[in-house]
Amino acid sequence: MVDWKPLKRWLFTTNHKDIGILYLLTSLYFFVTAGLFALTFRFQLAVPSNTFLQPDEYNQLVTTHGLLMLLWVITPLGAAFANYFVPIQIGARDMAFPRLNALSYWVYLASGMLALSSFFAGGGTADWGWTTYAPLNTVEFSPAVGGSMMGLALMLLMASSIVSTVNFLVTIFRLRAPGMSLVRLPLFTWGWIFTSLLMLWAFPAFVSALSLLVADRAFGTVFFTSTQGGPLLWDHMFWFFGHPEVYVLLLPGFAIVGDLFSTFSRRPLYAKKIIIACLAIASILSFTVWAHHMFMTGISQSLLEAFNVTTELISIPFAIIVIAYIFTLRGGSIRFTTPMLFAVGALGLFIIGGVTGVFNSSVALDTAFRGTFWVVGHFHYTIVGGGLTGLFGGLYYWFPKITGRMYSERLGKIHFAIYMVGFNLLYFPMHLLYDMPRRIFKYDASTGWGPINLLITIGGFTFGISQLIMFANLLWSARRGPAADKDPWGGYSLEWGIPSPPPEFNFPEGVPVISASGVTFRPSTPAMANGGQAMADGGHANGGHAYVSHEDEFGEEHWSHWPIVVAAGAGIALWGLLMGLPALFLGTGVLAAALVGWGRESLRGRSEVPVEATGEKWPFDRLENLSLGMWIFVFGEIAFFGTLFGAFVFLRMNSPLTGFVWPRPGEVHNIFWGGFNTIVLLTSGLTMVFALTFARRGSYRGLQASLVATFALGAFFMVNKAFEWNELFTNGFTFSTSSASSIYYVLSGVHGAHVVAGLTALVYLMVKALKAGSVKQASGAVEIFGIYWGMVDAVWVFLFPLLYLL
Amino acid sequence: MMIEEAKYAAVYGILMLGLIVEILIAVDGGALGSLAGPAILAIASLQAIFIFLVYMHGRYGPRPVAVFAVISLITVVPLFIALLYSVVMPHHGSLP
Repeated sequence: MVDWKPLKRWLFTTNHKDIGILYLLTSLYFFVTAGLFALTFRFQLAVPSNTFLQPDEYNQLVTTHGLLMLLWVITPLGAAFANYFVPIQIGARDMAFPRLNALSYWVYLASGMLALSSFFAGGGTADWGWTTYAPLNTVEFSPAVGGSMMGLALMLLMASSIVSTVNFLVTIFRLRAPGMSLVRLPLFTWGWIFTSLLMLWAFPAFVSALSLLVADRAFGTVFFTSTQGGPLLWDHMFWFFGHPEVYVLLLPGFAIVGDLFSTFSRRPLYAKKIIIACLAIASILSFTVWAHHMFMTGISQSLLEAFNVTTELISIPFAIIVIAYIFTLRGGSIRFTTPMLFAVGALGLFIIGGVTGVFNSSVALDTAFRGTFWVVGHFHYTIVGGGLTGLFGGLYYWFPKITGRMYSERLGKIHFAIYMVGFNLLYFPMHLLYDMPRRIFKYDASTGWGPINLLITIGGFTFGISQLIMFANLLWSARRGPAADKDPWGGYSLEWGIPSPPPEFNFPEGVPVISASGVTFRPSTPAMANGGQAMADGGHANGGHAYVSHEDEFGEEHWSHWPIVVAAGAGIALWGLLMGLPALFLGTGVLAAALVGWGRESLRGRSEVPVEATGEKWPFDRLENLSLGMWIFVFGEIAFFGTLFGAFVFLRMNSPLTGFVWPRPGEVHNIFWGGFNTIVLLTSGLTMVFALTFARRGSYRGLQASLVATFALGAFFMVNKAFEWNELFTNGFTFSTSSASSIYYVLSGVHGAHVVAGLTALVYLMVKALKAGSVKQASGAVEIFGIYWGMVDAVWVFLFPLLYLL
Repeated sequence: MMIEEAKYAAVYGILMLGLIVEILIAVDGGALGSLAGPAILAIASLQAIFIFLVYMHGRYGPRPVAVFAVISLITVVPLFIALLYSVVMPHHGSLP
């Protein structure tokens, strides 16, 4: 008999460490893929007038290289370490929502498969550059279906990231061990808090922009082809996401560098609180600098000046952090192990990237450098130099903990040496090509760019070969390396106090209790804050010692089939949306069945998550995990709808300047119809809070009646909306009529999708209320749904006046 | 308990009142002139605040959530300002 358990473990696991490993392997796979793309187009540029690649092939490879490296490699590589180590570093046994954690990974993988399959969708994949600039992203200039598929893949990836963000923030805020105050968190966990917050507010903005793009490409709306929207609208929406994304890429690796400096100099991190404050300031400022990518777009002079200043301001917190890192080394007993070498290298490369970034913040200099290889050199020094190099340091640092084996230090140092030579040969000469446009696929020998390009390509291959050494080293060592003890480096964070690799629930000695004098462990009892015996994903407390390692090496009790099935359904459905109805129906069917299965699993209590009653939960002591998760999701929705409202304002205000007459109130839309529908939705909000009141009071009939009324009113709202759409279409007000019609359909459409999602959840809620042992047991779920439904109402109170009255 | 229900019903009344005033302004807002639009948006904002504080607030500790919500709103404010400025302020045209 074939033993399928090992395979099933990786398909159905909900354990944070397994998921961390899956993220690690998948992101490295995409790293190799995107790296090969880069080598291919660097080969094209190696010599003048090369004909190795055709222009569209070159454009597709450059686009996919950029998107993969940024969104499917560096961000998930940080997520891999965060998945594996953040729960351990805060003293938790797992993530707050283990199944959602698995879902995030599988959706990430599905999005990557969708992105790569877009090459074969007929006509190739997206070829507009990673910035997806309008109007290159429109059907007129990029008609291939693969482009639309890449757009959908990006939306799926953003959904995965946002779910993951909610999970991490709840985990860090609610599952910290006793005594693990926020200030005691290791710098990596702090870096991941800010990374998560940046993802929470920046990624929904990208989803908004992609919603408009996919609507343009799939449904014929006119956001980026009309003069009211056009390239400037895309630029604002994209870079509002795009610049914070730079810090999403940078912060995890940069934070690891701080922890490595501390560990390998045997010194506490210098000015740790100031570093954390600087990370906070930089994160806030990152939302105020995006238009420095738009200095050449013709926006007003006052905006240029403002963004010039904010961009220069953001260099200050990073300069302080760099100084603090260097001061950490002062007087320390420094050990130049491979992780430390990568940390030092990352800091040096980041400084070069930072200095060249100050050049770009100047409007005058940026005018000269914009769109040249100087910019390519700058951002690779920052993102690859500061971010990815730091993450590679983390990979070597944590390898013994993950595998329980040491890697070859000699090969690690050889990797570092060739890495640094290759990196600097690859990216530094790009600064000398400050007169070569970055978006050309070939050039003439008379330009004189040939020798430098050849040098860059040699550097690229050197850099690529260095990674082979790393892969060989780590693959061999994972199987045959000498055994690692639990703390080979003298690290100070909690992962170094437990075996290598860690047991299933991390802390075999009990609950870690952190104090000024160090860490002690106390036996865990099943007395958890939620009063249950349940463990993550439905396991059972083991003889009152919930933290005792499980005998089942695969953690089978905590498997769930549904995350992978949900992700597969979503991926197939999106693929089918562009490739044909059979796949669309199949994917939708699988997705629907999987969601039902997920809900049934929840009803059996398999997703109960334990909370240590005595753990640190400030500042969210009074919230349950699920309600905090829902609130964090709502905060992300503010960014999503806020960006869409911003797009509305832009189109509306721009219309008189472009000669377009926006329809007057009542001219197209029936105000009273819309007003009536508003009454219906707001009334459903009232019945929803009544449901909560009845649940708390223990009134079963009142609860059921209120939920049914909420469902009926929500459904009536949607039916009404469908009739309204039908009438508008009949009257010739279609998706493509004008920018006014386009924004109407997208805004009311995405709101309608939220209502439909809410109605689906409401059905689950009604079943749960029906099955609950007592009505009061159901009140928690009713509360959480009430938050969501309140948000749906709150969004509509803005949509109604925007779409009907102004 | 009845106080809770009365509170929810009162907020519902406020939401309905706001809706009626909004529609009246839109249909016959001549007296308000250019203030009609801001007035409608101000009413919508008040409605959203009531929903947030009363319908969504429930029994949770309001302060951390409210602070988080305000920060979330603040993050998109620069985008609104920049989008407005991009349209309203004179363009300098593409630089050479």
